[in-house]
Amino acid sequence: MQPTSDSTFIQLEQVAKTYMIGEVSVHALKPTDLTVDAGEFVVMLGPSGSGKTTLLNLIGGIDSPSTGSVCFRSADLSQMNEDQITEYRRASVGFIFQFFNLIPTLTARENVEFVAELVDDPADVMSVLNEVGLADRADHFPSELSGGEQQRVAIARALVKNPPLLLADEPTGNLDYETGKHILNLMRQVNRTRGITVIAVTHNSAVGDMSDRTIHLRSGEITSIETNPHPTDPEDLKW
Amino acid sequence: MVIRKLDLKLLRDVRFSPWLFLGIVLLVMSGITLFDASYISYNSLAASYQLTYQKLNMADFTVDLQSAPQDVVKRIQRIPGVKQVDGRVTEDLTVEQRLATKRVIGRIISIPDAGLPSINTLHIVNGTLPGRGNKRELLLENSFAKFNGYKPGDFIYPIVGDDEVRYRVSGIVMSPEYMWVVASTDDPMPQPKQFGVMFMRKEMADRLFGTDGSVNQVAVTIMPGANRSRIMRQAADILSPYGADDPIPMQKQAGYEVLQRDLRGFRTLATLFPMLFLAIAALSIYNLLGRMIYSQRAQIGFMRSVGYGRRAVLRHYILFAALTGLLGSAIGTVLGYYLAFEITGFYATIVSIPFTEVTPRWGIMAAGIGISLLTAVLAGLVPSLSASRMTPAEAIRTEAPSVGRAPAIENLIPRLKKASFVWRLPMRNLLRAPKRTFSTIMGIASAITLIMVSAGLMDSGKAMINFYFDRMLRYDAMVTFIHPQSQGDLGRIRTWKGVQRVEPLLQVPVKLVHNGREMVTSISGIESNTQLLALSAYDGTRISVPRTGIATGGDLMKRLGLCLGQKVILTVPHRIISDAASIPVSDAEVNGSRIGKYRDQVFSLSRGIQDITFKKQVVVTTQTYEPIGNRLVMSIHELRRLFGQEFDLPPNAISAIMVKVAPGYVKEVSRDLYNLTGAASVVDVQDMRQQIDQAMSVSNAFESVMFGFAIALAFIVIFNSTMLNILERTREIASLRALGVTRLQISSMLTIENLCTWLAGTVIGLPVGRLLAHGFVSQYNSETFHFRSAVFPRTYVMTVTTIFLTVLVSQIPGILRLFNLNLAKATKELSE
Ligand SMILES: Nc1ncnc2c1ncn2[C@@H]1O[C@H](COP(=O)(O)OP(=O)(O)OP(=O)(O)O)[C@@H](O)[C@H]1O
Ligand SMILES: [Mg+2]
Repeated sequence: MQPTSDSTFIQLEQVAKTYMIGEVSVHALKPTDLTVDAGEFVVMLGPSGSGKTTLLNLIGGIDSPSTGSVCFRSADLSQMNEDQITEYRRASVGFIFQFFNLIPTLTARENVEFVAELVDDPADVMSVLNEVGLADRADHFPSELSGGEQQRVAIARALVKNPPLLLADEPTGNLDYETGKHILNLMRQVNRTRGITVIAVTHNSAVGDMSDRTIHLRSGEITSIETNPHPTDPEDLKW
Repeated sequence: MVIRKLDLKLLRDVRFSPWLFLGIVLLVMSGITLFDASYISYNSLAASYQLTYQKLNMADFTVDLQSAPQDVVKRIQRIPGVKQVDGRVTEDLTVEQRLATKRVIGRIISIPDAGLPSINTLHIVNGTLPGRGNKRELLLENSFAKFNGYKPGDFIYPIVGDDEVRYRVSGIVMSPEYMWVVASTDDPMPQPKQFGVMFMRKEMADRLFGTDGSVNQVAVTIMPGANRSRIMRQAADILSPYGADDPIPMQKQAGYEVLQRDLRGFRTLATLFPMLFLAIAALSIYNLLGRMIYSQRAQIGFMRSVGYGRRAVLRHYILFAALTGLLGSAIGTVLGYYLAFEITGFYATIVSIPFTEVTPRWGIMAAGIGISLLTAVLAGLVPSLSASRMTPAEAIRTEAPSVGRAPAIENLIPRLKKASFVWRLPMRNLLRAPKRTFSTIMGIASAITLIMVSAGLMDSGKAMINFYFDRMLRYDAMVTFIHPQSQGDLGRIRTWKGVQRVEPLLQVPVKLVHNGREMVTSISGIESNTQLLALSAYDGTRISVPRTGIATGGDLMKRLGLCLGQKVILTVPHRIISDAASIPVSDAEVNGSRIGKYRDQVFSLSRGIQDITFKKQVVVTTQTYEPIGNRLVMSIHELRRLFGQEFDLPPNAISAIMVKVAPGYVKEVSRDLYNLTGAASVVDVQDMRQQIDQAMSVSNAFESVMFGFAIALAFIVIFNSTMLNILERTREIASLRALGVTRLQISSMLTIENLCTWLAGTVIGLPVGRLLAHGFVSQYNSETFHFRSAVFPRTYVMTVTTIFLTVLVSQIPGILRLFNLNLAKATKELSE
């Protein structure tokens, strides 16, 4: 696929992130270029601390790079004002967090509704919960759900907005083998049927097989990018 | 109605951390209750006075004269702008009350022969008006009657000549001039054991005083909008041939002025204290909201990353603050209004206010709600703003493991290193979350400050009275004579059984003039080796009576801009009393030839027929601390030398005798003092102290209310922060429990932690509180009461232990909750 200017969905140019901890600077992400096309399913692989979450956060517009620019559909996030960046997050990004981040005082259903209310045309809350297999736990509070169930609420929350871009940080980290596969299948499906671009972070190298492209990170650098012309069906993944 | 999920979260936050919400609501509530209660009471009192002045047609001004024909009233009436004029006779004389077997100074004021006076009219509480003609009946002023237990039908005995004349009390009344019953402005304490007001038909008063066809006081009301000072001037011109004093405008009338002074003090307290209160509440709200927001940072990060804007986050937390403000002030307003009723009602029982008016003051209530909303919102603004400004990626990371290091104290006290972790963990915890520690310490410090300020007000009041009675008035009884007399009785009294020491006192009324400012007071002449009327400096050290010149209270000097070594002018206010002894008791006509004589403080209450004015210059040589009043002191010899001639004083004149009595003899000696010829009144210091205590009971009650609130607020503030301190760490503590740490160890650790913050808060709070108390007390000073700010040692002890216990008690619910924790559930929750 040859990137042309209007099909360029996400473009990172020389994006770097450095944290200062006292006198010491931590290069969470070294200067990086990356392009993601609309409709792609991208998996980021790398050991703990390699900068995966950092990169994902920068793409999602919830963190800003120390240098370089992140463009979404040719619009530079770093040039946006607070309202525009909020609008970007609201309309364009669905986030699944490594640590779920459910609102503890809202039930599963309410957590999803909480997000659905932000957009004009959300998916039906119950059917999304159904999709992630949680319809019968809809009225439970997060503290009454297992880790995997919380994870699934988090996924439902991301999907309910029908975002063009889905960012998932370890979406299967807390799930059993079967549920994990089910979720991956779900993500592949929304990617295929609704054309949602998916960027998923994982430790699990087997997951890389189902992606269109796999990006390998190590110590804040992209070490290699594999293109996968024949992604494996998630049902057939083994780990 | 569909609630937006963001607002639903708000309500759920309330439901899931009710302590936090209720804590803030209680803070706001008590602040507003206090504000509304005190301010509405202040306003109600002011309105009740005004209503009384209006309903009872209080004179716009009065003029005291020696004597004028009754017709003079008609001439005043013709002054343009005058509405009504009333002429009356008023005299002070000694009254025997067989009830309480004590003599008092009675001020007799005439009322018309029929009906009630048109000006300064009376409100009948009980009984009827006096009968006409020969009926020996009179009306008693309410607080005097109440204090001495008079009811209609009882008898009272004015002393005329050497005879007691029996009068029947026909009714009990309240008067606009004597809601606060004081004889004069410079004697601001009501002393119902020494002074009472009585009203008598003019025809009866004329018989008693021989004032037929004449008046010695004129009361005037003016038309709305008329120029009072012009009318006063014109009235003074008309009356000056009759020995008129300067007209006294309503504002200078003793009862009025003292009430207004009192009201001003009330207002100061009613505004400043709630302000302090709300400021501390605001600080606490700021802390609590800050902590709540901090604990919700992951949620905030999430909200922002899914597309909730800054404003939505800001609005969310501001709304929480506003909700607490609204609910708190709603309850507070209702409670405050109710309390205002109680306070005003209580006040009305102390002061004789015939018409009280407590109405909901919408303006004040709206202001209260506005202030509390503003306080809550402003206090919530800073943490809410910082919440909305968090970088989502930053906020969303779970609470970054904070710096864990051995605190310096462990290096300083090597033994701590070897101590069990029950000792070491609390120290580390305190230093690990310095913000939280700081906010808890501030909570405790402000609670202490608040208690110290309100206790400081009470202590200073008590210290003032203690100083007055313990350091200054060292005598047990004082007899005051109708006329100044020579020292004759002195030696005799000394030989009485139980009498330990006797000293003379000469007191003359003067007007002090300096820098164009003047003030009516009296000079006390005492012996230079006095032991019964001690002079003291502000620090309490004894000061001897100056050989020359006068000793003056430092507060008076400050007010008049007077320095040591400066000269002041003393003039004598023309207040002379008729010689009561020369008035026949019979109904016979009286010739007008009464002899004018100056009397001591007693006759300074009244006026007579002679007019002498003169000026003397004296040097202020000594500065003293006069806690109550503005008395001047000089050596008795000097005083006799200075004024002896003008006052026509006998050689070695005295006007009173102070007596120190052995315990158990006071009553007996007092009775004998009454029976001395020429004795006008006897002051029993113990009695006097009681009366002053009673007069102070209004402000005492008010201060107690403040104090109660301070304790309540202290409790809420500490309770909140301690509770939160524990709840915030539910997960962490649950993990410890899961690891096998015992309940006892956990509660010991928390207790040690809380006691450390208690200690730090105490160390900060005590000096700050002392300082603020000082500021408040100086605000409360008045012309009459000169407080030095004092905080008793027992107050320190009480404050520190109260707070200590509060800290201990307020951790109980939190610890109990931890004990009953579902460990599995708690360790799973990300944050509380
Ligand atoms: N706010 C921060 N302050 C300081 N250092 C940070 C911060 N966030 C991340 N880092 C550091 O940046 C590096 C990359 O972090 P990042 O969270 O992107 O790793 P990751 O690949 O997602 O790891 P994991 O698989 O464990 O989630 C790490 O070394 C981390 O310690
Ligand atoms: Mg990560």
